Amino acid sequence: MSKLISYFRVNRSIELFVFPVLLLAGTLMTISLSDKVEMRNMAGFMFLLPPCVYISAVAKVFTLEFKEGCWELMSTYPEKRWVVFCFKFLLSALILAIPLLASFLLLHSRVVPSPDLDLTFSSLVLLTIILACFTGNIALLVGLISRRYEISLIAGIVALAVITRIGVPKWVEYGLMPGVGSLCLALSFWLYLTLGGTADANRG
Amino acid sequence: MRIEVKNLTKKYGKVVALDNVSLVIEHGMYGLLGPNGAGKTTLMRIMATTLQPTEGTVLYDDYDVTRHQYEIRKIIGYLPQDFRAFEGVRVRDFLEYVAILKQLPPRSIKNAIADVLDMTNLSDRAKTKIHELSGGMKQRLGIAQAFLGDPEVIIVDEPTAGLDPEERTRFRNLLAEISMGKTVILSTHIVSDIEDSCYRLSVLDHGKILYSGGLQGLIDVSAGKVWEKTLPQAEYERFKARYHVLTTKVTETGVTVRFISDEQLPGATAVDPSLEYGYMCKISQTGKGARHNAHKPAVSM
Repeated sequence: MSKLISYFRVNRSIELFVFPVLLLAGTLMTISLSDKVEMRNMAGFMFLLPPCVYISAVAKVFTLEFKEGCWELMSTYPEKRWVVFCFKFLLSALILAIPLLASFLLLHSRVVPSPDLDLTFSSLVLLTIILACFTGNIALLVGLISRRYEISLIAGIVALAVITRIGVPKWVEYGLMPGVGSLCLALSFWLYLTLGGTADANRG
Repeated sequence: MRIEVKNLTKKYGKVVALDNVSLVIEHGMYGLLGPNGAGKTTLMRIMATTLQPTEGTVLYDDYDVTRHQYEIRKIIGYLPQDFRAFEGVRVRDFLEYVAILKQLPPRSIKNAIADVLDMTNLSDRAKTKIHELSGGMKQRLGIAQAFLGDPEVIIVDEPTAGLDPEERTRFRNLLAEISMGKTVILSTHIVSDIEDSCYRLSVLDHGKILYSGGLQGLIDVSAGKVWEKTLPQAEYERFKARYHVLTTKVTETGVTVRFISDEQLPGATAVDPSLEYGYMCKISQTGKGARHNAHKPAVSM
């Protein structure tokens, strides 16, 4: 637990909240500008918030060393890479858990009704988790390939925007998206373990 | 701890950064001196296990950098040339994170952090965010993270670059004080950093070891090779093209130069040998120095 707290202390940053707060601001603005308050906007927000938080968390947590330029130093410490990866992933998952629970509690208590979502509550929960993992793990893989926080964040946003704008059949939602998400996670794990300690181009 | 660099070669494509380098480092502070681009950082990175050699290896007693990275990482502390830490994080939180990554026993972390903060005189900055520290304080934090866990070997790469003279002196003293009983490898292109803190050194240039041994041995290299002469200003350019000029001073009577030559020129007087001149004599044999050719026959000016 103390390890996890230490990982959180190092990774906590305003950047973790920028993207979700922007989403909240956008939703509130949409609602306030509408002639008629449509609760589906708020329901949509509750549905999109967990993936946004997860994308934001993995982009920040997994690119921190590259962003701050201390990857070389971190590579000289004896902690096993797979342990570091697992802790970072666990931290991202815990950060995801907070909006996930909040959204489900609100949706379940019908404070925010979702009349346009033709889903049962349990399938909504499952779909939210699938969407978060799919978009977040794409952001994770892109982040480790590019070693750039911004590119990782953009990749996640683009994936989220595309998947929520197009109508996807059920087999994509429940088959392809979890498959691609898992593949991205597996590739990210492998990539993190094999990343070099330093760029070969930097010579002295 | 005995560190042996054995026939180490590192190539980046066709560029040879280290060319069959061999040296032995024993207890105490050991200097690695060389100009920018000599291959020092490559050597430091291989020793710190962040870079794999093309050929050869480095042995820490029986541990081999190509096979025992995990074991070696447990016994070294490394301060890279461009030390950076998580800017928005507090000093103590950063060190706690490093302690976890260094696999320090959880119960000892608090004391270990207090010790290194005290050692580097950063105790009153424990709660300060890293981006609020001055350049010198950040370097001290770099040393603090390197010393965390009391490693047997400390590798520091160009630690005084970018520091003002006062901070540089303070940093050198700090390094010398806290390195007692350890093996410290100090890489730098600043001769005075080595002169004031090491008693053995190697000179590296163009990926090759040009000298390994004591300080006095390198000082002796410059004996009878560095001269001073005053020339008319009109002759300066021609002289500079023939000899490796170390210093130039314009005076009322002309230009006074200190230069390297195997033979004494008419009107030239010998300059007292020093570590800096010994180093310049060594590197004049390769690269920039070689172009000036210190061994050309003396010509009358």
